[in-house]
Amino acid sequence: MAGIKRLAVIPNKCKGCHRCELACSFRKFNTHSLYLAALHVNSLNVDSIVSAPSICIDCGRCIEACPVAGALHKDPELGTIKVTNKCTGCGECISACPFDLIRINPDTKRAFKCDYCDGNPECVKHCPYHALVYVDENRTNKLTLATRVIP
Amino acid sequence: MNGYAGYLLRINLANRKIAREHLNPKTAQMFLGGSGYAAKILWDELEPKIDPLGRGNKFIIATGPLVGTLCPGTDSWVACFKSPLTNCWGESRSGGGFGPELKRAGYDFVVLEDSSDEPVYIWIRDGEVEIREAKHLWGKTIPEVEGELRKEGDSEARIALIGPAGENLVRFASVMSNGRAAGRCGGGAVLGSKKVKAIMVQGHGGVSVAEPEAFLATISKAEKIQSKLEVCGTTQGSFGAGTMSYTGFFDAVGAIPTKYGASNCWDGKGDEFYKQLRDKYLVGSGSCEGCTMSCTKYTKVKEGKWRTPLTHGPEYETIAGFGHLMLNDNVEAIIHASHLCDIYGMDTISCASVIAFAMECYEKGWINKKDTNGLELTWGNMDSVKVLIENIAKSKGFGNLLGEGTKRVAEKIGGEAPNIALHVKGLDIPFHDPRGHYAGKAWHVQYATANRGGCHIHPQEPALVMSARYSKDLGIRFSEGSELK
Repeated sequence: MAGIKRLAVIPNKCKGCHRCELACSFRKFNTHSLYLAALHVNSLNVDSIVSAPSICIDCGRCIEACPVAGALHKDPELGTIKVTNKCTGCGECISACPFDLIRINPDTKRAFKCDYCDGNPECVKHCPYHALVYVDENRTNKLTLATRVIP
Repeated sequence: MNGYAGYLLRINLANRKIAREHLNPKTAQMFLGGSGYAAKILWDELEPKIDPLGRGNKFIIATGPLVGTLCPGTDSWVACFKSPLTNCWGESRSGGGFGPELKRAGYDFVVLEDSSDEPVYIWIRDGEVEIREAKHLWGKTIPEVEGELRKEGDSEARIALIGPAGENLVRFASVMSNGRAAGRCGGGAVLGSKKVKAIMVQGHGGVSVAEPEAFLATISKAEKIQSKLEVCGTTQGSFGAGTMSYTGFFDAVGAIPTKYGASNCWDGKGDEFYKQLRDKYLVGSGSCEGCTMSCTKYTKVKEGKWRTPLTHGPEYETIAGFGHLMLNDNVEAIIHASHLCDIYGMDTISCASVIAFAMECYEKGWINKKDTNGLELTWGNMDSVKVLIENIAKSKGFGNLLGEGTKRVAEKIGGEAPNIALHVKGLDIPFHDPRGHYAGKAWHVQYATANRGGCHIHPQEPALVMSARYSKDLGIRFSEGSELK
């Protein structure tokens, strides 16, 4: 798809501060919450502490698992899968997502995920270290965040 | 409630009663912020003249209405208690995500009362609160306990805990959390006296504000200003080396107490320390939650006698204390000493100070090898310092006395010793020398009048404000050259 932009991380710039998560939940739900964020910062203790947010890559497992017609819908302009108001909160998508990047809001009882804030991502605006960018898909050809971590 | 979570968690460790109380909105308004509300509680509820290490003391974990929000610099919690070091108001701030997590669990304050007979830890998960047994954790170091407790909670849980120093009632024991320290005034000993090893919190709620749109607009403005500030980008920020960057400058302007105050600089060694740390040992930067500064620095000593695993800091005070103050110029030993204080849970300022004080007493012959269990307490002898740090934490031998803190050690030694001890009310004065050209003599006023004793930062380096900005208005006159321009 031409002209699709993606959220991506610039390696080594992330300081693991979780500010992007707070900005996300605040924009989406008017509250500062790590649970109600559509991206999640993970840290790996290696030789230093390496952090980066995991961000939905629209692999499509959620929309495949969804039993309710039209509850999940791929936005043709943004290129990302969005939750619509047809969602019943059944949780099938939660089970299907290996990355914990689609969750149920316990108050609205509906699923939520990253939807690029309709093309103006809030997280990018609040990252103090310029670690998050919203750029042309073709510049983001390295997928390095699908990392399994033993909790 | 907006800003506030609206609740105070009160736990009695003797009768095991757990109560969730509403915040008093009038108190919250009159005594704005975490330590304000906590001060009101301690003022109202503590009997006068109680032993800070006895059942009558209370340990308060305090947060404020902005904690856990997008407001920069609000990953904060304050330990408030009657201090076993000074016998007065004890207050110590820390970061590491604990404050925001507590807010998200639904509490602004935790008040720990009385003492348990057996070691326990407090487990909080949103509305569930338990007092759990901690015999299996008692005696263990900070990283050992964190590893154990991770198995009992999810990976995002935040833990505030004490090390062996707190358990052994070392009067300057700290409370550690995610590599950060609520270092000063001996809060770790208060928890140790209550047999509370740790407080573990997980919160899945959120923190709201009254006017989201106006709030976000103000936040965006603040972010814009911060992104242009030199101090955010260079010295403290992700491009810089944090507080270790101060060491060179302070040495050059004569602002680092050296050889326990015999001098106020050390021939440019401060700059050497900074450059070595930055070029050889600094391995990365981190950040507290939501913070725009990323002042957290990680160092590592890969091999050799002072080999140290990945560790937080050392920060400026720790470098000055285990460096200049005791005439040690081995940077690897500084990193190692900092790490030991972290794993045993002790304030690096007071620990370095009491050791340097002991070195001066040793030089003057007021104590000798018999008193020090055979340790040579010569200036810069980091082999002895390493043993001493461990012995202080474990209350062994000479360390048992030093763990009482500078004031009591000086009184025990007697003679001239109390006259050379550098503390105010028992809290060791930090390493900003009033004889230097960094806020100069304003430090005298700061140290003499700070609420918790010899302190350089609560509320926020007023010395700088006094000397730089308002000295004329306040009618304070300093001698030529000692003002910060």
